[in-house]
Amino acid sequence: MKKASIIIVSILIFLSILVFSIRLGSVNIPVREIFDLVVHEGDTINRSIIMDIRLPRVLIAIIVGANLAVSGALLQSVMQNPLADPGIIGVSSGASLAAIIVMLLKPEYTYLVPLVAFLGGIIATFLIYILAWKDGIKPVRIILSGVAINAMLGGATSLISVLNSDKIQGVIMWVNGSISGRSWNDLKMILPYSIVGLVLSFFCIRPANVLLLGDEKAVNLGLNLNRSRILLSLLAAFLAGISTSAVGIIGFIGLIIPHISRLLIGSDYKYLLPFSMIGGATMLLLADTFARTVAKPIELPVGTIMAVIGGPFFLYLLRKGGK
Amino acid sequence: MEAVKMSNLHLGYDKKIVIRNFTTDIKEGEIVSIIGPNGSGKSTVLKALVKLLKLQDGMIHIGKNSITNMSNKEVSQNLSILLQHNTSPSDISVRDLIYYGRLPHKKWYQSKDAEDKKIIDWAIENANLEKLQYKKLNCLSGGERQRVWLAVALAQEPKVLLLDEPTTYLDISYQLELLELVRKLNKKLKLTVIMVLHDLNQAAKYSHRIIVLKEGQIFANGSPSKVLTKELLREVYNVEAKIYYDDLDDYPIIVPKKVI
Repeated sequence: MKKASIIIVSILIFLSILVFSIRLGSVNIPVREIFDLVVHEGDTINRSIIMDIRLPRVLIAIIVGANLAVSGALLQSVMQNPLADPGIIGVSSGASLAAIIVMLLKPEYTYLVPLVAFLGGIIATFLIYILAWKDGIKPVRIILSGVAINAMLGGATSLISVLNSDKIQGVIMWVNGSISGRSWNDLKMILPYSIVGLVLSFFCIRPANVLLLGDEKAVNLGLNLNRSRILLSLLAAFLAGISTSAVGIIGFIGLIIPHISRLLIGSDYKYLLPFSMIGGATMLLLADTFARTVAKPIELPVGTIMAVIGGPFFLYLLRKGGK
Repeated sequence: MEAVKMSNLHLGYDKKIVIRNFTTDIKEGEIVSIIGPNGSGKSTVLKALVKLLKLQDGMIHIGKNSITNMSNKEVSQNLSILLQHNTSPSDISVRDLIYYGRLPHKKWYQSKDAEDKKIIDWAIENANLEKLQYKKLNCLSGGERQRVWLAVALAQEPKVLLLDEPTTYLDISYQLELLELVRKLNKKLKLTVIMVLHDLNQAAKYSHRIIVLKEGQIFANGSPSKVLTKELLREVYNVEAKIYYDDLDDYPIIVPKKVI
């Protein structure tokens, strides 16, 4: 079976990038030593580097990558549009504005940024859906009210940044997405919610597939259009929201990974969804490894790296798929 | 026995009423065509039947049940629709697409079982798709694709098949092929058919009964030879036409001459 072998190969690629990513950094640790260190004690400094710094960071990259890719895949079905991503339903712009208000105006509450960013993203999503509601919910209306709300929130974010440009330094990293300095606590914060969200996404496979057959046939196959669209969107907003709350804005992955997955494994969500999870995890892990090693000791924002390596690969696949 | 009863339907979008006072019963095993000029509200009736449109007034009954009290799913178990224009992922296979026709009969946690496979095979056989069943949809011609969507509709095991201008985008040979197939299914499976057609000659040839709409109201309702007259074409379509009769099957053949 062709699809099974694609999935096996992708898991192998994922695992090798995982090992590679733990190995690389300001101190390179040989693969053999990694296993020794994880299983039993060894060189205490290297053990501490792996267990306290690299492992939580690597795991967060994997989870966030999977969350964002699944979120994008779900939204592409809801919008019946392959260009949809979590940004379109306001998660990023709402989270940014909320986070920036706290970081710049009330810096004493910076520890609350993850929670506030999550709430900001979810509130923006609700706002967009309420404005798009007219006798039910149509993709075009979501996209249009999304564009409007995103522009307004983006404007407010810029305004606050400009007025507080003296304090902007720490904010830049967050806005461009960064997994640097994340600890086991951050992982503990997002892990349970991510598992719940990713498991729930498997229950969305059937409605996501049926939505692709167009509104009219979907209704005539027994689907409740509004309910399916809202549930899928809620789950997508939730997955993107928790990810953004932990690592800031990482764009592109929600758009590009489902797209690449579709080219490689087809558009059936039964395969597309799990494949997007693996793809998202692999891509963000790779990008984050790049971000922390390529210009060391300077850390680059992983969101930017995503766009730089993801873009050309995406174009290559598009051209190849077009033939 | 009536398969579908429509009484005193008022239908429309927002405040604009498109259909007024639409009342008719569709008998089991009947092929009924709804015809009329552009904008007369033909497709609106089909939309209301499959719950794509709320009724502003009136009642639709499938058997004894009012569709207002039925879920989308229950309606889809009884009525299936073949649209003129369909969307789907291009890489889906014929068999996989036809499986979606089984969904109205499945609970959310049930997956494909032997029973579904049997019905998919049956739908494939009845839509003449045996040779194409493992192909991808994007390898098929427009006419073949429309047959696949017909098979999706059949896999729903409907009591009534609705066709919304199903031949619009097809070549003349595929148009004939599809309508012949519909007629065969009607005879063989006693399937009730309600279709909206543009082509008057096709409606005349393939229908037991024709309902003519003009400005949202029923203008005429009866057998093709009774309904399709010179006077009707003049009044409804503003067209001067000659009407001949097919010797064998006794259906009218309309040859339009000029616009009045």
